[in-house]
Amino acid sequence: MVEINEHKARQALIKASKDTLGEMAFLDVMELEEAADFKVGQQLFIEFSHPIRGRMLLSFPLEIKQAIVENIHATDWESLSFDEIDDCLLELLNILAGNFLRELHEESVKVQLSFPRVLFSLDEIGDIENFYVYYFDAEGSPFSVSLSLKEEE
Amino acid sequence: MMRLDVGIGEWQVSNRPEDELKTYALGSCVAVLAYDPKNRVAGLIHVALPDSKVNQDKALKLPGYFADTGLPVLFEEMQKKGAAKKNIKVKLTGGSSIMDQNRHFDIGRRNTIAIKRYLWKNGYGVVKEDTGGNSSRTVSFKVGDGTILVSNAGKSWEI
Amino acid sequence: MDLQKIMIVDDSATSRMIIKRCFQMAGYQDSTFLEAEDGLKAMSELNKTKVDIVVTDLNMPKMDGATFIKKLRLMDKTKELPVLVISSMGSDAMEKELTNSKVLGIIRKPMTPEKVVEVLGEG
Repeated sequence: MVEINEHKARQALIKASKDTLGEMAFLDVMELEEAADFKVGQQLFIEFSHPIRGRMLLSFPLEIKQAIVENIHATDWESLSFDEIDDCLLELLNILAGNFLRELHEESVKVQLSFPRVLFSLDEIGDIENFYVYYFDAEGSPFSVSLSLKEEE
Repeated sequence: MMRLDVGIGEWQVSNRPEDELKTYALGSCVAVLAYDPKNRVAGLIHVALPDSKVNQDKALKLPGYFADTGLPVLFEEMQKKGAAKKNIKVKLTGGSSIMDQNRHFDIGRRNTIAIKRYLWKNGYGVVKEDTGGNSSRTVSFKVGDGTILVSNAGKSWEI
Repeated sequence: MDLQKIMIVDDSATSRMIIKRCFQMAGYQDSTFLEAEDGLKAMSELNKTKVDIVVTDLNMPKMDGATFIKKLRLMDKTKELPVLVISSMGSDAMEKELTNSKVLGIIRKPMTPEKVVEVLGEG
């Protein structure tokens, strides 16, 4: 059984967020001590089943969505299709979740992830109140990553 | 050998094989080292801050001080001296972890990320990166063969 | 390494674009790139075309990366074909398993030109 501790999860998430967004989307990300208010422009969701069971919800405002996609594609927003934009954000979440799980377990285990998806409403998750919300800053704009972790049975 | 020293916010480009480009005490500043090995053209710029928006007067006087105004000038000059864009490879060093004066963010990290964003967008590949940490690096760059030597506190290593 | 034809296998179009761009920036700008979105499509393409290296993700629908590599090793044509794995899910256990399939290396996503150079050298 894998033991989860909130402090360790937080540290793993901070490292994974900084590394993934820095290396892939060229945005300097820092953790925020307090909750931040922002208008949600996009929500993405992924589940994992190994080494721990859990779910991750990535929420950001439109300006971060646009910066991420433009930076990764090295082009302007106007020249990108909806498919390209969605695929880009889903791949980012996929990598973020993979890196988070490996940070959490020091690379010693096999990681199992579901295919990430775009959320249209939080109702699709159901028990959002059970998620821990972590806030970050990406060069002046806040965003959040919500986590719900369960020990594997 | 001719040594060309590069100060903060400055750059040097050379196509003379006997030259060596050198910059000192990088701290949170980042040295961008660009090289076309086929045409043997080397360029070094010593960037201090990520974005010229904070001080546009300074950017006019010293464009190399900022990543967004300095990098285009560096590559333009390299091409004037015979480099072909498709051959140019980039290495980065410096970018030590130092907080800005309001202690909001790590300038070295932000510099490095801003530089990589520009390079990715414009099709220049970073093939080696030795950034971060707490040391103050000095770097020398041989035009003849592209050898880059980084040194700090009596130690030196090639990147 | 001399790589004239490079096959990229990944279900994400973004990821294929990033991998291709990283190779080009690492000096492989004159190579030809072939793309497939899963192991099954890659297999059928490899029946028709000879490539110098396969660069593959692991987590893909239809045929995942590990199965795809196993199948490559069973075919005469592709038995010795160099394979590079690029994944967000690599682990020590997986690395051991894949080493037995003679892969050149496992690169952890996000992909960068520097990681290409570390494994294959500059093009």
